[in-house]
Amino acid sequence: MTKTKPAAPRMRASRREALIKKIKRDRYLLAMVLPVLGYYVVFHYLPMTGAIIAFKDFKPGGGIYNGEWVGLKWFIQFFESPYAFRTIRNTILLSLYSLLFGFPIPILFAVCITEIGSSKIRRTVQTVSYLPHFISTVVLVGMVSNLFTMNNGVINGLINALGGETVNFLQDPGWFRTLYVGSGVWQSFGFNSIIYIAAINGIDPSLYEAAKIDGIRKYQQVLYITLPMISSTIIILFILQLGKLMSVGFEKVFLMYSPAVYETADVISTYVYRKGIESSSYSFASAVGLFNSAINFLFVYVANCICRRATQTSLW
Amino acid sequence: MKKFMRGRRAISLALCLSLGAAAFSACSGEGAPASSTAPQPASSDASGAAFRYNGSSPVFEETTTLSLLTCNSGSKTSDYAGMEWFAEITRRANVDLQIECVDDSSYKDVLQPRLAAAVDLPDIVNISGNDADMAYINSGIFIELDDYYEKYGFNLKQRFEEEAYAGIKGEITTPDGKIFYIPAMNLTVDWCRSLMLNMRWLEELGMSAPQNLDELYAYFKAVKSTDLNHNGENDEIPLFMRSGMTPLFGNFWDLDLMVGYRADDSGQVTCSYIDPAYRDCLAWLNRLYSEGLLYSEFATANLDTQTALFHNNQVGAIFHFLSNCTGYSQQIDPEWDFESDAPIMQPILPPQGPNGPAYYYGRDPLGSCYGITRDCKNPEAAFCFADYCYSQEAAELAWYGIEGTDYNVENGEIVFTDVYLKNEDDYRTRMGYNCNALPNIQIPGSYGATQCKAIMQANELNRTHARNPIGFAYKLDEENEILQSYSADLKTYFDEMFIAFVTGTTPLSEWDSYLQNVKAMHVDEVTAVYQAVVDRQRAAQ
Repeated sequence: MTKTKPAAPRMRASRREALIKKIKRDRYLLAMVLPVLGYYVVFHYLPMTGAIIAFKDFKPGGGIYNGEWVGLKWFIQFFESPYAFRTIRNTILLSLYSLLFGFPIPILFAVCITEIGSSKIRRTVQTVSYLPHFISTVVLVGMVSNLFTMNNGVINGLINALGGETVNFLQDPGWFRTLYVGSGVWQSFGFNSIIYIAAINGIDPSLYEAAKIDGIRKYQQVLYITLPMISSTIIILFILQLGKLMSVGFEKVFLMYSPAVYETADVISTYVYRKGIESSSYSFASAVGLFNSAINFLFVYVANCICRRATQTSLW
Repeated sequence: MKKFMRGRRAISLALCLSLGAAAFSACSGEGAPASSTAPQPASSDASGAAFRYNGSSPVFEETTTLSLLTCNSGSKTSDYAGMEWFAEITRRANVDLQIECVDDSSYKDVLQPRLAAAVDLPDIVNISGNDADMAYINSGIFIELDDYYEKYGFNLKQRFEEEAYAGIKGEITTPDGKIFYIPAMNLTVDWCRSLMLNMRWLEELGMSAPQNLDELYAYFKAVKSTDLNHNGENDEIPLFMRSGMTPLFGNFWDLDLMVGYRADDSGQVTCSYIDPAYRDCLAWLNRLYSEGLLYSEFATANLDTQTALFHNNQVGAIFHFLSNCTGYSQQIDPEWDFESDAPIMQPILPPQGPNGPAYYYGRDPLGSCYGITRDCKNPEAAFCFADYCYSQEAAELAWYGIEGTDYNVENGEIVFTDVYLKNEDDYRTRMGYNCNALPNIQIPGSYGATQCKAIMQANELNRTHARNPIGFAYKLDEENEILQSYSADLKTYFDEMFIAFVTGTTPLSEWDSYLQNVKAMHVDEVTAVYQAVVDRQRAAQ
């Protein structure tokens, strides 16, 4: 005991020395991390303090931290609006449908594509499938409206040729979600499958060989080897997707919607945009944005907890 | 090596210092007191030249530098280096104009954050609107201009008196009687939105221009059932409307569905969307839609759709700005020559509706506003230059171009040159004529060069039938509170239900529950705000 007491400061000193030594040794690596760290602090963490204007009455030219405190006024105004429920519902439903159809398809596609024997065909199919990802939203929406219009649209042409009635796709609220989710899946499934293809390629081939010797069938191979081996990738991506549940892409909805389909198309961000344009009410917009982010965070947190309990795979 | 290192260290030190200095100056700028008070004549003695300004060029005796933040909404060009008239205006005014011109589509995204931060603003800013809720005025970003108007507003004051821009001064005066902006001025009754019909079709059908809604309906019916473009298909569209345009039809029922609120002759304001006449208007439009006379995608169609339909010669009628007529005719028939041929699409006089006199909507004279910022070092100079832009000399340069190159004056009349008229490679757009990046004014006859004679005559007729909407006015704080809370929701509901009733997805038998919903959304309070605005305007007159 008496011996250890004087040893403690020495140990602390030696630990500090070791730390300095480590820093010295890795100084270049650390220097390389600094700009990224700086980027996050300056562009992500410092601006977060600006969320304060959600509780203030922000006036142009007055600075972010100066406005008058108004408490929950903007939150109350949002929830008192007759459209609060509808916009939240539309936001969640659009996200849910996008997740429901948009999430499994890239996985299935990745599984299928890795089973293609000829590498030439495999590469061609893959390239073709991920090209739509590089089409801008404006062009995509233009394509959708040209395809689905009642006036010489290809789809209505097909329907007519098959003896069906012309459908007013673009003005019928019942079709908006289908068009939105369908075009979204078409655009992104190829690109999203890349990460799964990489994960599948990383699976140890000896597993497949062993299974083949045991006489496994193709679908069993997928079910018992491929999917379990990439399950951690799937879970992580799923949690990250849940974090975006409340944030539907503003541009695409904004470009696709019209008062005719507000019933199913008007989401939180477009509603705030319309309301904000009336009187540049930054505080109102921030309050709704903050509410959105809080819900998103909650989703990620809960999903992470569930996944950790159920599968031992999680973000943290 | 060592020397090199030292040099590098010196550079990085200098960089750090300059960064720090910039950050420091930015901070101190924010903390500076808002100088929204009246002009200080003492400081302007130094600039001197501004005092000699008498309304015409040169504005300054020595070249004066001014900065301007604006957008290129009129023409889509922002290459000022190639615009002769623009160079001529700044040369005559003796101004070195540092212009920051942002594309019109993203201007609000650039402007709003910059005004919200309000640091290091240029001398003059185009606020891309009219600051209806007085947010910028109250924040002190823009200085009060009354004294400048009084001293140097030679052209502006004169324009305020002209009949063509009637009421504009009252519109930009705040409720406490001050002026903070220099407004772009529009002609109110010229080139108003009119019903335009395909004259070749009308002739082929042996009909004359419809004088009332029943005759209009008969024309639509005839177009629908006749192969007027002779392509063997029944693809004629009797009435084409683009998204957001269809509510223009409200004017035949004496409603204003564009603004939503209308004042009658006695000054009584009503909300057009709950007027019993609106129900009749909806029934009529619903009949057009269900019989296939109104374009099936009127709620979503865009400019591309419209252009394609005109190129295919499928359109029987459209309701929009009269000045577009020439363009439509060119699209229908590329061989069509606006100098010699009668226009294919031609405006008609407003058909008589069931309610009140027949008219078209006129326009508010108030365009986008320009403010002089509190950061401006020489507000007198900025104001004098802006005032010069309203002189006849500057307006003619902006609309007609350079004498000798673009036009000549023969017997006191302007005769355009071939270069201007032929418009090869879109010459006029490239030259930036009708560019409203500067404080600007639409002068009578300003579209004259680009229109055929028949359309000019139609304008002369229709302008006598134009009726102006409720003019712009600043709102008081408590009024803004009401508008901010309710008007966006109401507009959402009105837009949505208009389409639902016209397409029949909501039958008109649900009119009563529609009225109840609108009442529950505080329509009476919003109407009361417009009533108060009209009362103030009438009192001011």
